[in-house]
Amino acid sequence: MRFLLTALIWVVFVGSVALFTSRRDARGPVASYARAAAKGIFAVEVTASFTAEPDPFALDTGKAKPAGLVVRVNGVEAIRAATVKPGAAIRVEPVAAVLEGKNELFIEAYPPADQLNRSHAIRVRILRDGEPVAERTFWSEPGTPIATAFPLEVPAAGAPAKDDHNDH
Amino acid sequence: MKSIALLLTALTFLPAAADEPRKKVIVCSTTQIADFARQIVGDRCVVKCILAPGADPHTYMPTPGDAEIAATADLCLENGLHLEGKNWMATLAKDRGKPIATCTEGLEPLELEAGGQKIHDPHAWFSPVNAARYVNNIVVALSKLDPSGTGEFEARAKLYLQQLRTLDAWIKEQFNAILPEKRILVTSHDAFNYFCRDYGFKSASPVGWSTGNEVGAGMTPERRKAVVDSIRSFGVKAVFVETSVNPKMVQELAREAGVAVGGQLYSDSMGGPGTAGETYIGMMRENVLTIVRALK
Repeated sequence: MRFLLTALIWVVFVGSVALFTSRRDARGPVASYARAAAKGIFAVEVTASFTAEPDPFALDTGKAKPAGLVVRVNGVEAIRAATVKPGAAIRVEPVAAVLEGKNELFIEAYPPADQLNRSHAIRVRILRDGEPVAERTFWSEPGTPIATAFPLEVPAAGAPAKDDHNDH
Repeated sequence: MKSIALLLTALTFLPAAADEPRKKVIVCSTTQIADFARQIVGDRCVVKCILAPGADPHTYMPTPGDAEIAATADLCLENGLHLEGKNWMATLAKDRGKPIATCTEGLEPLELEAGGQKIHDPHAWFSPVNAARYVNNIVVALSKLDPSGTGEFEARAKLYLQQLRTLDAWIKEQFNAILPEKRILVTSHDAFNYFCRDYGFKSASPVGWSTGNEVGAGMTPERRKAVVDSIRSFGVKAVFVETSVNPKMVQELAREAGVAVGGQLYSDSMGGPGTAGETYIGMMRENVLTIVRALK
């Protein structure tokens, strides 16, 4: 009787663990939440104070072209440039990934290795139908490339543009 | 009854142990490549190295034991550019039918003029930027071997590449302490050309690009005289011996030129366990500190 009870307890225990792990793995994703794209034709414009070059210390396994500047809007790549000249604005239009309300921009830019010892700036503007709706300037810390993500509020059509804002 | 309960317990955990897959084995030619590979694979693979710390890859002769190590490999990694004298690593891999990846693939090698021929300098790891190329090539080779581990390899490589960036910046900062006209690096053999290019040094050595007997390698009286003349004319404060090369020649040269031996540099091989040079980053840091102490 004792043996049967021990075996039963083990079967219940091991079975419960197996059931739990199989159910846990089969669990579906959380319901997705999608927002509609903002109205209008959007452009992203980037101006750097330095010559951006491909990062010699980047992970480069041949999947993507080496880049000195990469801008992603809500996870979608908007700009990928091998080199960028100082003061020259790079503009990409249209950018379909911009949503009305909160957006996230991710920017990576690499100054030449021999100029990494000082701060560099990069200015980003979002334009809707040719009119700026948001802009921001970022400064790198000496010794590091610019790699930053920031939330960007794109107002509804007709609302005023936000003031410039500098991040140090 | 107790024994049956114990048996049940043992049986519960047995399948987990039996299902564990065999770890892939990566066999590397040099200590530097083995360190890069270890940084990328972590505990996922086993990394073995043919060369022992302090061994010279130019003159190394593989042993039957090395052939046995190569036989266990799922992937072999070599430096290439003829660092491995008479291509011993490629031969080991080929004899055992093992895939081999060359870590210097895709980088622009420095060209040396030697014996009337142009030679590609194989000591590319001395530039941290080139070391990043080694890391990327190793990630590509490992991802082909073990596609399910790609994410892990890439995540580890990214972290390590950041360490290489920091190392590069640190070296530049350290060498600010040495005046540009004092940046002359005299070593046993011509291994530091990439290092000198990246950090504004001039290099000189009595032996050519290899300690072996390849074209343009070895010591010649003309080369020795040129180095002694350079030491005297540029007012070099110190010369350096290398851990993987017999120090006698440089010691004699230092006596002849009337300069001090500034210390020992890790060159073609890293240090043994417990030494400052047991990793690539440790080796580079130790070399830089030795050079700064002797030349500033």
